[in-house]
This record gives sequence, C-alpha cells and structure tokens, in this order.
Amino acid sequence: MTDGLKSAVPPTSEPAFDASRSDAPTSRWLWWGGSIVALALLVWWILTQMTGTAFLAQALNGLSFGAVLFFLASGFTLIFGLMRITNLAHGGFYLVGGYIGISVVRATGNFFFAMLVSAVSIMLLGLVTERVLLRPIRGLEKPEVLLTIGLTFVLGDLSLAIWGGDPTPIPKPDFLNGALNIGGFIYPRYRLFVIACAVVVGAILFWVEKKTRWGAMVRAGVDDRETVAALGINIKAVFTGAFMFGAFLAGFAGVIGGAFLTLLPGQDFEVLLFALAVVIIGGLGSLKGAALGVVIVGLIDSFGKALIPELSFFTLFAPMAIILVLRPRGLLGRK
Amino acid sequence: MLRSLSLTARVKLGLAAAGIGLGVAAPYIFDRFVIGLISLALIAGLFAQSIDLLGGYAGLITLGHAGVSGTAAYGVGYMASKAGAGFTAQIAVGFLAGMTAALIFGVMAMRSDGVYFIMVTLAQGMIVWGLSIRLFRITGAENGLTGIPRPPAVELYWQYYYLTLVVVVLCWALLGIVVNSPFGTSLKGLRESETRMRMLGYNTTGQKLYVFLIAGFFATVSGILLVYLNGFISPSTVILAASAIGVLEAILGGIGTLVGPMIGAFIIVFVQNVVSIYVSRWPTLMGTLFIVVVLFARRGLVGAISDGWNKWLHRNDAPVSQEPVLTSSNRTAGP
Amino acid sequence: MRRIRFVILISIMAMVAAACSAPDAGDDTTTTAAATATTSGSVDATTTTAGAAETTEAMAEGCDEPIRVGVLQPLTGGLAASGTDAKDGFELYWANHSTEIAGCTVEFRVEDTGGNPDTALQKVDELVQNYGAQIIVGELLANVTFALADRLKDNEDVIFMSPIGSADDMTQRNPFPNFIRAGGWTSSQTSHVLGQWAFDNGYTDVASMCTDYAFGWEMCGGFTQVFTEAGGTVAASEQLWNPLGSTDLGTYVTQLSGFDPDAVFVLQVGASVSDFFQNWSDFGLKEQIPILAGEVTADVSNIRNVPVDQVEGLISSGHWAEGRDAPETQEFVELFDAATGRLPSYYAAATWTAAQYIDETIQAMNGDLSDKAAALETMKGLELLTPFGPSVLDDYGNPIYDIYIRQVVVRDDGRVWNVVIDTYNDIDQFWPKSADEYLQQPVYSREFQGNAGG
Repeated sequence: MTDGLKSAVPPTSEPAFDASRSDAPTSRWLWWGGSIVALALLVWWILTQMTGTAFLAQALNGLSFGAVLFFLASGFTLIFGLMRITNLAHGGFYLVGGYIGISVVRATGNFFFAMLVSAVSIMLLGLVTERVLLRPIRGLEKPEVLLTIGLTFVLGDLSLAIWGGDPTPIPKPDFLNGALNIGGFIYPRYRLFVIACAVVVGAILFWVEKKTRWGAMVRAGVDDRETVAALGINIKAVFTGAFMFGAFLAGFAGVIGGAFLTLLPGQDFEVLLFALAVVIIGGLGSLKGAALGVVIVGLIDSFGKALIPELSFFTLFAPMAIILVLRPRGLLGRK
Repeated sequence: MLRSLSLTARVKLGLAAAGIGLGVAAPYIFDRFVIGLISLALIAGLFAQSIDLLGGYAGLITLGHAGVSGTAAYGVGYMASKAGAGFTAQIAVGFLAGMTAALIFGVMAMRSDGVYFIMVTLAQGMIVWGLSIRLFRITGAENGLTGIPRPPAVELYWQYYYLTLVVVVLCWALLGIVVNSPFGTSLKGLRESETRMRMLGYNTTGQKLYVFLIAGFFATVSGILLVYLNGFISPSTVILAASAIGVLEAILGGIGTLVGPMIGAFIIVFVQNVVSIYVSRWPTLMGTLFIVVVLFARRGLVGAISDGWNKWLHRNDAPVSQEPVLTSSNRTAGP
Repeated sequence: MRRIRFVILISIMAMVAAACSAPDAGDDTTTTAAATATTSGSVDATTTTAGAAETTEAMAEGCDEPIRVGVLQPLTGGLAASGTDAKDGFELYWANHSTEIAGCTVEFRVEDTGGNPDTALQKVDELVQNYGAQIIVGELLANVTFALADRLKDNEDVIFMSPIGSADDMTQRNPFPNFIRAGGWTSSQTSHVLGQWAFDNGYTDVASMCTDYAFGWEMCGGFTQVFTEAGGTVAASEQLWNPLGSTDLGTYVTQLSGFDPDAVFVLQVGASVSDFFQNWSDFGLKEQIPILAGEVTADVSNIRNVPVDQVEGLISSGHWAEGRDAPETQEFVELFDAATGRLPSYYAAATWTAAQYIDETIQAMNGDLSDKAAALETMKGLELLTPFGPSVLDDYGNPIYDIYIRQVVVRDDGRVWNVVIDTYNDIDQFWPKSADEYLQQPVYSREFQGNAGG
C-alpha cells in the first residue's frame, strides 16, 4: 500500500500471477504517459460532442454520483483489505441506513441528526454482524459470501415489511434544495454538498491512514496480519473496529444517497453492484483505488449515458471487464 | 459385489436407487404442479452443479453463469419464436450460442482468480443481461420471447419431465466422470494452490479455460432444458440474482460435492414456489436459512449429514479426528 | 469401487429410459393396459377438478364447487408496493360485496410471484391445477403477463384477466384467445389523449424522456404520434431513453434542459419517478419547463413519498384519477383509504374493477362459468360503472373509457392526489384512428414512435 514498498520486478505478460506489479520506472512512465494522452483525447472528443457548460454539468453529475459510492466503496475496500471479507451485506447496510434516516427525519425533521443516528445504528449492526455472525467463520471465503448474501436478503425483506415498498426519497434540509447560480452556471446545491462531503471524508480517511496510530495498525494489518498479531496488537479488535467503521460509512451513505437516489427494495443490490465496480476498477483493498474508482465509475456513468445512450448498459460493465482482463488486480490493486 | 462395499457406500447406493426410483415413479404419484416443480428443480440443480464444478472443485466462484445458460436459452428462443426454425436448428443454435459465450467468458476470465474471478464473471453476466434488454429484435427486450413450443415427442408435462430426468442424470454421471478423472484431480490442486500447480508444470490458465468450457456445456444444457420447460425466456433468466441463486444453491447443499447443489436447488425451488404460498416473508426465511447453514453446517447440508453419519458410524469408537473438508468419501459421484 | 458405482448408475439410467418409454407409449393406441390406465390417471386427474365438476353441474342452478379465482402479484421484491396495492384492491372488493353470487361461492387466493416469470409460471400451474382456479387475474409486469398469457392460451378452462399488464399488442396485433383486459388498459391508450391535449393547449415543441423498454416506448409513442399528427414537433434527437432502473437521472435532466422545449413528456416508473422529480427541481427546471407525465409516473403510488412541492401542479393523463369528483370513484377511494391508510393507486382500482367484472359476469351467467367462451362474451357485453367511470369493452377485450387530463393537487390533509381538469369521453385503444387504420402500423418501439415530423 505504501508506494515505496514496491519491488522492481521486470514486466511480464501475466500480471495476474506476479507477486508484485511491474513498476520499473520506464514502464511506469509509459503507463502514466499513455493514460494521460488517452484521457486528453477522450476529453477532446467529448468536448466536440457537447458545450463546455454541459461538459462541466455532466462531469459534476458523474462526480456527485461517484461521491455517494465513495462512502460505500471506501468501507467495503477497508473491510476487504484488512479481513479479506467480501461483505456483500454492504448494500443491505446502505438500504437499512437510509430507511432509518427516513424515520428519523420524519420524527425530528433534522437531516444531519438522521445521518448520525443512521450511521451509528448501522455501526452497531456491523458490530453484531462481525461478532456474532462472521467471527465463527473467519477466513472461510465462500461461507462468508453466503452469509453476507443471506443477511442482505433478511435486511431487504425486513425493510420491506417495516417501511413498505414505495419508492421513498429522504427529504433534504431546505438550504440544500434547489440550484446554485454561479455566474450563470446553474447547478443543484445538494450535489455540490455530496461532493464536498466525499472530499472531506476522503481527506480524513487518508490522514487517518497515513498519520495516526490507528492507520498504522490498519496498514500493517493489511500487509501482514500474522506479524501484527505477533507484535501484540489485538488484531481481532482491529478487525471489529474496521468492520464497524465500514458499516458506519455505509449507514452514512444510506442517508446521503437516499436523499439523492431514492430508496426502494432492491436498491441494496443496485448500489452494491456499483460499489463493487468501483473497488474492482480501482483495486480491492486500496483507499486510493476506491477514490480513483469512484471518479472513473461516476464519469463513465454520466458521460456514457449522455453520449452513447444505446450502450448505457455496457458503459459500466464493459470497461470493468476490460480493465480486469488487462489488469486483473484493478488499476491500483496490489497482490 | 455389494458385500465388498462399506456400509456408507451401500447406504449411498441405496439412496441413489431410491432417488432414481422416486424420480421414475413421480408422475404416477404427484400432480402436474409438483412434477413441474421437480423438473424446474432438476434443471436448477444441473445449473448449480455446473457452477459447483467451477466453484467447488476448481475454486473459481462465478457470478455470471446465468449469462452462459441464458445465452443458450435465448439461442433456442430466437430460433423458435423469431426465426421459426425446426427443433434441430433450435437446439443446435442454442448449443452454439451457449458454448460461444462460455468460450468468450472463459478466455476473458482465465487469468483471474479469487474475488477477481467473481468480479470478471459478474461483469460478464451483467453484459449478457444488458444485451438481452438492448437487442430488442433478437431477445424481445423486457417482454422476452414467448411461443417456444416443445418438440412433439416431449410435449406433455410428464414427457418433458422424463426427458429432463434422463438428461440431468446423464449429465450428473458425466460430471462424476469429469471430477474423478485426472483432470478433475488437477482441478483440486488448482483450488488448493494455483502457484504450486504452476510450479508443478501445469498450465493453470489453460486448465481454467477447459473447466470453464466444461461447466459452460452443462450450463448450456440446463439453459436449453429451462427454455423448453417454460416455453418462455426473458431477461429475468439472466439477471445477476439468477447466477447468485445458483451459487447459493451449491453452497447451501454442500460445495465440492455433486449431490449438494442438487439438494440445494430442490430446497430453494421449494422455498420460492411452495413455501412462499404460505409464508409471506419468505425471503427472510431464505436468508435466515443461508445464515444458519453457514454457522451450523459449514460444509453445507451434505457435509452436515455426512458428519452426522460418520459420528453415528463411529459412535462406539474412541474419538477420531474429523475428516478433512472435501475428501473423496463425502464427495458422492452418483445420484 | 468407483467403477462399480458407475456400472450401477448406468444400469439405473437404463431403467429410467425404460420407464420413460412406457408412459410415452401409453399415448399411442397400442400398448399395455396398465401403462395407459396409470398415465391417463395421472394426466387427467389434473383436468377433472376444473372440468368435470362444471360440466355435470352446468344445468343446475348454483353450484357445489366454489368458483375459484387466482390472483398473481409481486408481493416481495422491488415491485412489492404496487403488487400489494393490487392485492388490497382485490381483497377490498370482496370484503365489501357478497361472495355468494347466484347460489355460488366465490373464493380467491393471492399468490406472490416476486416479479419473476419463472415463479409466476409455477404458481399459475398450482392455481389452475391444484386450487382449481377458473379465472386468473394477472400480474403487473409485462414480461410476466406475456409468460402467463402464453401458458394459459391453450387452456380453455381458464379466463385470464389482466387489469394492470398493459402491453399494447395483447389486445391489438397478437391477441390471446382467453385473455381479457377488463379493468385494464393499453399503454398508449391514455397518452394518445395527452398528445391531443398538449397540442390543443398551445404546446408545439416537446422533448421526451421515457424508460427504455416496451412500456416506455408505447407510452411515449402514443403521445408522440397523436401530438405530431396534430401538428406538434417532437425531434427524434430530443427523445431520451433511459434504461429501466437507472440510478441517478441527473445526466438526462441536464440534457433535457439543453433542448429548451415547450414541455417535456416524461414516463418513468418505480424509483426513477422520485429520482426524476428530485433532479428536475434541484436543477431549478420546475419553474421553467412544464412536465407532461405518462399515467404511471403521476400515479399516487409513485408520488406519495415525493416532496409535495416537487410534484404539485403536475399534468398527466390517465384512465384513473383518484381525485375525480364522482360517487363511484370517491366511494372506493374512501373505502381504500380507511382500510389501508393510503390513497388508492391505479393498481388498486384496477383489481377492484376486475373483481367487479367477475362479480357481474357470474351474476349474468347465473353462476355457471363452464363455458368460458360464453363467459368471455358476457364479460365483453357488460356496461359497468366502475371507480374509473363508465366502462365497456371493445371487440378485442380492451376497455373503452373516459380518459382524464389530471393535475396533482394537495388535499386538505396534506397528501397529494390527481384531480380531473379535462375529460375525453369514450376513448378506445385506437383513438383517434379506427381500429383498421391503427392496426396497419407496427407496435410502438424505439424505432417507431409514429412521429409525423419524421
């Protein structure tokens, strides 16, 4: 995860099975240089298709959608990086978080309080899930997948029983309704707010990861669990903490996203799919990868819909498949 | 000859014979609804077995398998409903479509493993789903294709049931041969450690492609059986949930066995179609079932039964160590 | 030992093969009596419940066997809310009307399809074969409706009613023989009217944003054809199609604002409805460009949780208007509201009306539904006053209704509903064309929107 730790192994034709990715300086320059040129060409082509204002609006649309996914993907990737758990219940956490948010907003009228209550409730749900359900099967990949899917079914169906199945958006606070007019450029306040939230949360996450004792423990845990345990750090507590934190972010995402994407039974799988695409494209287990992934997925989603509407089903999954074929560990993934 | 077999083997043979006997007698005992359900469960079981060949034996969990079986089903559906071709052409095109999909998917996925394999296949499944909605002239989009009659010889529901039974049992036997062949043994090596297999000189990439093609063949058969059973195909047959349910059936029954996926399929088909008549919150029930199985019968129902049987068999012995997961004795090749 | 197992397996399979050939042969004329007997026993057992009882009692007044109705709706999954509305509407009718009709008892059972055609096909077999349903009231999803219609089309003992599933061709170019849309509608039927209204009210240049599947194509095509043939313009480049279940419609809304049209015809379903209105108001477009909504998009089930200010004043067309000031509508609305705490959606009104059709048909047939063809003819001949208003069926089994131009207003209790601002009387599914002329053209699709402007 730290860039300094990369060994200089010559490039091979099968990056899938290499202990570390090829990061010799030349190939790295080629990689970045090529990407930048390709990106520039793409932007130039897009700008021939639409006006500058439309381009900006679409870019912000993509980024704001990506921002919602960031809260989900960062937690998902943290849990995976540390514990190797593919937590498919993350979408269920999002949905229940959103529904709790609706109840709290309806009762108190306070959007931000709802955010807090949801995030904390889902954090507690995460605690129970990790301690009671996942701990007995630590390290067993397939049972974990089955269990988390099972949990998603239960959470989704119980939400349907409790909150009903009508599509429901979470009411936003008044000052986030409507559009902002910045020198003639009109753009929704709430989307800008979501982007800002993601930037702030992302910055905090990076800071915590790099600069704090907690971050050091998590980084060490991602790299080498056994050694961390041997050093006397309670790795189980770190795991529980990370899982709870991931759940906390999912609950938070439920409220932020619920005010934006509407809550509905089935939304749990929908957002999970997008979050998966994000972490897979970015590289599982990497916070930087998640950040890069949300930008890519958000922009692909938004420009894909606008420019090639006929293929909008593929604009997400075709790039995902291609990236995985070319770089089986994702763009910033490590073995 | 029978006397030379262990008690366990004799019990298994007895159960297999009873199963086949019941299968043959079923149309004389049950009504049309139950026979339809059994046909559906047999087809779902074959589909889950083909997933299990990848997931349980080779350690490659796929979430896009319905893309393969669905492509085959669409091949048949298109030839029957839009092209008005004869049955031979329908089935030939179905096979061709399914195997082409399996080949393309296999080539794309063969360099991945673990979670990344899951994600590549998921993306592939989503692409097929996207195509099924987009290619209106071929697939009928959301409305699907209707008017796919069965061949006259198996037109009646019980005739079709017998055909399904024979084909599924035949495929089961073929799968038994595959997993017990040297190739099947090498798959287990792939599951345990791909690196070791490559060091031993195996071409693991090629191995993955072969197993994908073999699994694709059985998925294709199940897809063709399904489209004639329903006389109808629509995108719901290729959605992610269809692939996921197949994986769940395999894990629920007991992954790494051939009888497990079949049992899992019977249970899930039963819950979806019969229990749902009486229990309105059946998804909760199903999710709880997954969780309970994972927590209390980690190796699926077949594993639990086999453990219980061994315990009973050795009830008077001194305590023996549990047999390791997935040894040959709990992997039944026969029905 | 493996080999032994395999040998035994093969021999067992040989047995299977042998066993199959027996009942197979039973259908041919020359075989063992035993096989024939058992076969017919197992096959015919299923039809006797439905068939024999009726034919023997046909002449008698009343009946020994209850008349059974099977209802299939999605009660779990993403469409559960609409499916539950449909279920509640049907149950509410029978809670308020006697199930003893002409000496017969009506029984019904509602089953969950989960919105999945595979499950629906199993359940319909169960309802017809085991439960003995003579009438099936169908699903709300078009693909499930197609699957069910295909399964039931050869079954002369069953009437298939589809009060919600609205795919045009099921009562137009590809009708199914025992299929009837009593209480239902075709997708383009209501948007035809909106196209005329829009032109009559001074809109000339309209863009559209519809969900990219058959229902969206038909709704949008209905509007586009009538509107452009009346003289309006819908540029093909200004017709946006978003995939069903798209998350985040911001991209499309941004594009629409760039077209600068007089109005936008919108057809969204499910979560996309509130997603759309959210974006529309967030981008500040609500005050600038009027929306003309397809029926479902403005249905109370889709807008009741949307913030009121985002949908207030919304114009749409529909065969259902819960705010319609007529006793036959308001009686139902009040009953439904009292029973469920919700204002009824068109799903609820549709199944209530289907139940009303069943009730009236049994009365008219004097309790004897054994002749399904006659029962279908009787149903087609009924002239009923339903919560939708007056309803008669055309030759194709599709209703001729009054179609309403509706506007969303806020009630005194703070909830929103659709009130009628204009009415077009006696609109059939082909209006304003004749059936013959209309059926010359292909069914609406993304490629064929009937756009007179080309």
